[in-house]
Amino acid sequence: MVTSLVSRRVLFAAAAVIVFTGVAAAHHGWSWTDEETFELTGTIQEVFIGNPHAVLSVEADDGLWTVELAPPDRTRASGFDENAAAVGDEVTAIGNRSSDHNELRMKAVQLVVNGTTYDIYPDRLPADS
Amino acid sequence: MPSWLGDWLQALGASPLAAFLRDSTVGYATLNGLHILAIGLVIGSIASLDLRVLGLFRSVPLAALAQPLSRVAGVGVLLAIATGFMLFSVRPLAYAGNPAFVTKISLVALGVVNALILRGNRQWRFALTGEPPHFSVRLAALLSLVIWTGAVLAGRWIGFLQ
Repeated sequence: MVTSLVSRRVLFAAAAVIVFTGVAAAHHGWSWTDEETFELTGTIQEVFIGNPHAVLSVEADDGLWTVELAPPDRTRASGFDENAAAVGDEVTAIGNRSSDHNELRMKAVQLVVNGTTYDIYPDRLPADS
Repeated sequence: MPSWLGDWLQALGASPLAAFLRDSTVGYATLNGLHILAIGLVIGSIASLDLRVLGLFRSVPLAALAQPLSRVAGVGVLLAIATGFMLFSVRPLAYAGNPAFVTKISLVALGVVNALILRGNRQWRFALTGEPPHFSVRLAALLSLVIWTGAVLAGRWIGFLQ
């Protein structure tokens, strides 16, 4: 098989672009989650609003969950700041759970706590909300 | 964890710098970027030097590579530790309990110790004169590659276990 130097370089470049694009597309906040919407209700054990992203620890029936929110700017923009919730408050988190169901971790797109709804990712809310 | 350590970590997390980095997107992202840059300096220089010791690029005398690459690596390690400490301060107790973080720190310590032992090894000085590197020198180079690679991979896992 004879391949000229030029066409081999083009092939390599094309392959690199495809691989890179695939990797880049996979690298966003939901690549590790289920697609279906998931809802978790529990009691807040910890609130962290800071870099690299905000997170809640929530005690539910089946154990202690990690509920990932957004980077601090975006989290606060939804209205969910340090005053929104405290340890001991009940929270409902709507979002997507880890596709490994042994892992008690989810990404929240919406939070309901103390009667207020916070849209963390307004463009990712489930259809009926 | 001993209570004095827990208290100290708590105090670190309450420091003004930590509070600033928690809230500042630009500050945190810049610091994170510098941390990654530092890691790049370490890996690029250390891998090149280790590979030379292990027999690649034999047309280049080891003595020509050793000083510049060691220095770049040293600066990289210092910068990585400084930026890493500041990143750590954002949530010290959580990171201290993160197995990936503890693994990474342990591997970084091992990497530094390995480098210091090599510096004190007189076989290293013989190697710099152009002698084929002694087994202990080549072993140190191989360990260096494995340890620093492990540290980078462990570091990447921190976010996934947090």
